[in-house]
Amino acid sequence: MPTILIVDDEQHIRLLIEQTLEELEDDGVEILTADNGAEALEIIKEARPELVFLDVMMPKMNGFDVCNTVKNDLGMKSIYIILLTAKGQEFDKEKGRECGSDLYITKPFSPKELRNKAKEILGLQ
Amino acid sequence: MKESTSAKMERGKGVIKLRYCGMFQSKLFLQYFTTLIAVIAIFVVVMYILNVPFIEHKVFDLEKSSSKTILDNVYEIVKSFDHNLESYRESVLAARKEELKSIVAVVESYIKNVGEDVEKGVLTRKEAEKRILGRLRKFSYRNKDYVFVADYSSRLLSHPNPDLNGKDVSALLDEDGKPVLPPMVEIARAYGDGYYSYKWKRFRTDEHSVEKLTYARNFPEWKWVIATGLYVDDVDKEVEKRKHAAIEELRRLFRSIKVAKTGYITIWDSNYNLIIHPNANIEGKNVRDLSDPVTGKPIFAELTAVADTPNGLYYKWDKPSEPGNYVYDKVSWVRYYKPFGWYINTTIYVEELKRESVLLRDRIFMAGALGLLILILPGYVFIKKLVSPIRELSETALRVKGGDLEAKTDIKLDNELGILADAFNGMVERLRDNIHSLDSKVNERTEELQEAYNKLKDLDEMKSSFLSNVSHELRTPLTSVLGFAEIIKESFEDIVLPHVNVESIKVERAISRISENAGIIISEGERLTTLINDVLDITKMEAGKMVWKCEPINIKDLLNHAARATSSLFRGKDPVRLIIETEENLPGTVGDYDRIIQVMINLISNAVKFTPEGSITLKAGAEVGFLFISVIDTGIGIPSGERDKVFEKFKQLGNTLTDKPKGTGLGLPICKEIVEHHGGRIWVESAQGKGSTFCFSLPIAGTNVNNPVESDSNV
Repeated sequence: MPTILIVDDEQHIRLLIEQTLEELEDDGVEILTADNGAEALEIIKEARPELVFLDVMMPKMNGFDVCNTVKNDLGMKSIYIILLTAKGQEFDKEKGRECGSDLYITKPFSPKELRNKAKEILGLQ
Repeated sequence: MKESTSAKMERGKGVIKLRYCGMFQSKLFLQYFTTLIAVIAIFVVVMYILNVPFIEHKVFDLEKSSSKTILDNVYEIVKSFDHNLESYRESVLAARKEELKSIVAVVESYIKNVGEDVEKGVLTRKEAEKRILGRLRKFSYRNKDYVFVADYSSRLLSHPNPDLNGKDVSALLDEDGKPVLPPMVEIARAYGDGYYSYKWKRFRTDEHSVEKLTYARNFPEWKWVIATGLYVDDVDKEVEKRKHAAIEELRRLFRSIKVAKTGYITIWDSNYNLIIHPNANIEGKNVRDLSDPVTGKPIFAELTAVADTPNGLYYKWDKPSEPGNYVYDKVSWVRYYKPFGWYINTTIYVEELKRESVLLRDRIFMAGALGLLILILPGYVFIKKLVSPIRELSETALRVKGGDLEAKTDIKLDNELGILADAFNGMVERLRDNIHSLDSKVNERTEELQEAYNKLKDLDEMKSSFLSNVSHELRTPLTSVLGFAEIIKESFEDIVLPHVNVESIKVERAISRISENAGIIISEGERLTTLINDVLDITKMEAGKMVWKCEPINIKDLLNHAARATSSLFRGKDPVRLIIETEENLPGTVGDYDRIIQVMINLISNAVKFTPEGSITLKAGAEVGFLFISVIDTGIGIPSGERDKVFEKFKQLGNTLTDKPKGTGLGLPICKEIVEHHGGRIWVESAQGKGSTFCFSLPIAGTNVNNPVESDSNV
């Protein structure tokens, strides 16, 4: 059963993405959430999600560090990580490539497009 | 640190090497030294040229006159020799005259003795006369000289010549028609005795008559005149004998006289008999026919011709060492000694006359050359002393020029050079002090500037992170607003609406309002997003923090891309058409493709906003190194007073014209920043009510990016 993890310190954003992806649960997708990087890492290690929406600007451990740990330190290359951030400055894109993220979506985003992307990645269409 | 020390040592070595590698590598020294040598050499040469020919000439003249003096001396010797002979002749003649006198005196005393016998009566007068005259007739002395006696009537009482003895010769005349005896008798009778000369033939010879000097004495007792004579040529012969001996003497003397080195004395007489000549082979010979082998003329005739002239005779002759080689110049001076009929000549080789002057010339030359050589050393020392401080000063100056401000000259001189060196040291010191104080001031200011820069940098970073944070902080709630508005709209329209039974107008209106209002929330949210993006963009551009790409851009691709990207804006605006007009084979440009597209999209969306109907034309062309891209609309246009303001930030025209157009007020300023960054220009032309044309230029790239694209497309 495919699992999606949503990581954002903003409760409303988590809620928005959850609601956006709600209809995927009909296809048996499990949706998990985390409000900080450390918790996200724990969940990733345990649940091994197929797709992670990862906010960049978070207290304690930011998205780049989490992504880097997952992709490079833990070697979990198969996990698809989409970074979410405010409109990217150049160094953001650079850091996104360095830490090994798969996609980069800027806020604000269209919920419909986000849903379509998730379906595409999980092969649900 | 190590390296710099070794470099310094290298340079130091170089200086030392320069200083001790010899004065001859100093240009100044060489210039001075060569000038000095040249001046001395010119002086020597000038002195030589001015003096040597003059001295040569003088010495030659001196030699010439000394040769002539020798000739004069020889002449004087000959003259005094002549005088000696003359006085000898006179003394001989006087002696002979005395002899005549004493012989007559002896004869007189004999006659007196015999006369005493007559008085005594021992003899008769007749016997006595016979005895006396008989004996006298036989008496002879010297060279057949004799005594004769005549009476007062000029009858010869006694004469050795029998033809004359006893004859009256009062009428006898000599060769010259001069009476012989009567004047003699007259002189003896008048003065007691006396001399008389006449021409007489020597007794018992066939010789011509010669001059005879006769002494006559009166013997009045018997009225006799006793006389005896001498032949003058006997005296002359004696003198001649004496002369020959003297000539031998002269020969010996003149042979020992050397004129110059090999010159000699020659004497010949009017008949060209060589009397004295150093060559014994021709001495005494007649040289009348001896000719000059060069000219063929008789040489002694020529020499005789120049006698007593001051110039002498110049001719070519051989040398004893090279007989027959008649190439050497000779000069002869000749003097004529008339009493002897002698031509006295000195002859000399001209080169010998010049020998002294040549010696003198060589000596002057040697003295000049030696002087030059001797002057080189003091000249070297003097110029070295002059140049050394200048050289040291220039080396120090070079070191200062090279940046060594510790360089200093050690020149201590009590002259202008010393002052120069002192002043130079002072200048360098002041320069050093000034540079040090300048350095410390610069360092101070640099530190202050660095501080200010650091502060500004901090501020700038604060600004950047502030903008970044603001952007993030604004986006996050905006994401929620937009996202939830879309979800609400979606779920309302897709899920709620199908289940609502629209019966009352109120409900129907509320439903349509919900849908509409959600749309407004979304569009305003999107506008807010654009605003945030634009603010971020322009801030980055103005701060120079934008990272620009540099890639070749094809203009047709650009226009088509812009048309596609803005196609959604034309949806539902059927009266507005988009037209693309481009020239064929347009050159490309280089720049940030995404940013240029941003300009195009901004301009097109602006045009769409202000064009209710008609067309929007995208036009591209190339001219004088630039590409010109225009967005032409047939919209409402811009009032002339507003045109300049459209590129200023937050100067939005929409609000004052109509409610409909809405934007951030940053679109055109961003366009301006982008175009100007690419080296182009952006401007607007507009006529109110007819439309606006926004035009911008981009420099043509060196490479022509050509891609055939359809030139016209309608949307």
